[in-house]
Amino acid sequence: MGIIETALIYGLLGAVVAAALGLRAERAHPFYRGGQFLVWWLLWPLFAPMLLGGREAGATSAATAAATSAPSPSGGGTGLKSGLALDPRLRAAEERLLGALGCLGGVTHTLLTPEIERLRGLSGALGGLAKRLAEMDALLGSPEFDARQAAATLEDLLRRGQGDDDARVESVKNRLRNIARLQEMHRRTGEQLERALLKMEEMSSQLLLLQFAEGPEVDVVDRVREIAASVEGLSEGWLAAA
Amino acid sequence: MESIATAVTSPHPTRLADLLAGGTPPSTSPPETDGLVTGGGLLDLLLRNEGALNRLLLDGRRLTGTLQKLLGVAALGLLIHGLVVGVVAHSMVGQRVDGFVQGRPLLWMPLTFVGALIGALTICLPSFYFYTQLSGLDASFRLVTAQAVRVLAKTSVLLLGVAPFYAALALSSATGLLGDRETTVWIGFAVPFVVGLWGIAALRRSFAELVGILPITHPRRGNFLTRMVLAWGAVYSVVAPVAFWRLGEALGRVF
Repeated sequence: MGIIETALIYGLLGAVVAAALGLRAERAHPFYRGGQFLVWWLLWPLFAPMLLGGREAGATSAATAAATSAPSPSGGGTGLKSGLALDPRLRAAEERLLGALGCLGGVTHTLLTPEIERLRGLSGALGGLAKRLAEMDALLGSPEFDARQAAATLEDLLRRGQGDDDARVESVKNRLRNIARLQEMHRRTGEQLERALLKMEEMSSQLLLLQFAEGPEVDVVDRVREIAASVEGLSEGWLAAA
Repeated sequence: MESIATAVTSPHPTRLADLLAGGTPPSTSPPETDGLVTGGGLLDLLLRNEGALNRLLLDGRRLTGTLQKLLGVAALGLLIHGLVVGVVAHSMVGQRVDGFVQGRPLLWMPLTFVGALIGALTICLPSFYFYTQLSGLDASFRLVTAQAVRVLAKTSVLLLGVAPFYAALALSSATGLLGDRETTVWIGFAVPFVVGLWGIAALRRSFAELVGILPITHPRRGNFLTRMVLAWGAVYSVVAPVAFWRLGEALGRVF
């Protein structure tokens, strides 16, 4: 195959890859987009891997990002990859917290290294909580858990003169009780999740502040230990709840 | 019964979407790179903040844009170095150096440096991925690509720093103070590969950080990271000069 044929095939493949990337890319000025298209077309072997795995694929959690500041001298690794929380705000809070941990160096980072593992477990638990909340949300939106419809049915039965001992009234009341229970569980789970989010944000700010801590290192170390203890306490509580 | 009905028909407690979408979501990008992925910011990351660059490369959502910027930096450094070498070679037009210096080196030398070194990178990518997998690290192909381009970008940035020294050497050889122009041109060809050793060292440091994050497909003992990085360097060092030579010859005939 001569140079012309090779160039033709290269150009065709490049056009395909460039078009695919162009479809995925965000809107941009046509001039800029044209330049990008040219680069993608000419250097498509470098950009073709970006098409693999979908838009979000390859995004690793902040746990991995923060842990890049703790190199392993032996070259061996645990191979752990922490799971991503289901929603952006949880993920962002986790990223911020682990990023804040990663910003610390020296003794303070060494002290908090075990907490990174705990936080990975915590993120998994919080992800589970978020998933439960989403499932409860979905249930509460379903016809079986439609409180208004159940209440209307009960009202209708009572208006028609059915008494409390009527099986239909009893059934609707039980249904209303179940709906109330689910709503209460939903409220408590939501509160737990919100507390976790806010606590993670609070810990991030504390850790970031430590970078500027003045005074003897023993004081910084004591404060780090306090934060580590609160992480431990929180993670134990939430892991038990999840 | 009415109280039950009333209680359950009160407005839904916080729904997931409301709870978790509340407030301005904090930026999901690594703090150090917020707003820093411009050309200047990338130079800073390449030179001084490799940890933040690692995190940036791990962010798949921004990888295409980051890769474009890294390629831009790589091309710029190679272009400038090629220009300097081209000026020296241009002064030798008419003197055949193993049939290599011909045409208008001022025009084709920069293109050759950029085209050959980036082209060699694309040729070697599958090998890089293969060696990474052999070393036990389950890095995605896109991460391997990003790391390879990162090495070239780092090398290019260092070449920008070396360019004034090389220019001084070229001036010295032009005036006959130090060596001859032919040797200077050959030194210009070799400089990217020597400077590339620092890029390779940066690659090793980067993978040393990523080892604790990437999945391990099979455990390895000893200094497997160094061996992996040396394998990267070896295969590229074999392919790139050949690509450089062939492209230089072809473009020398055209220009």
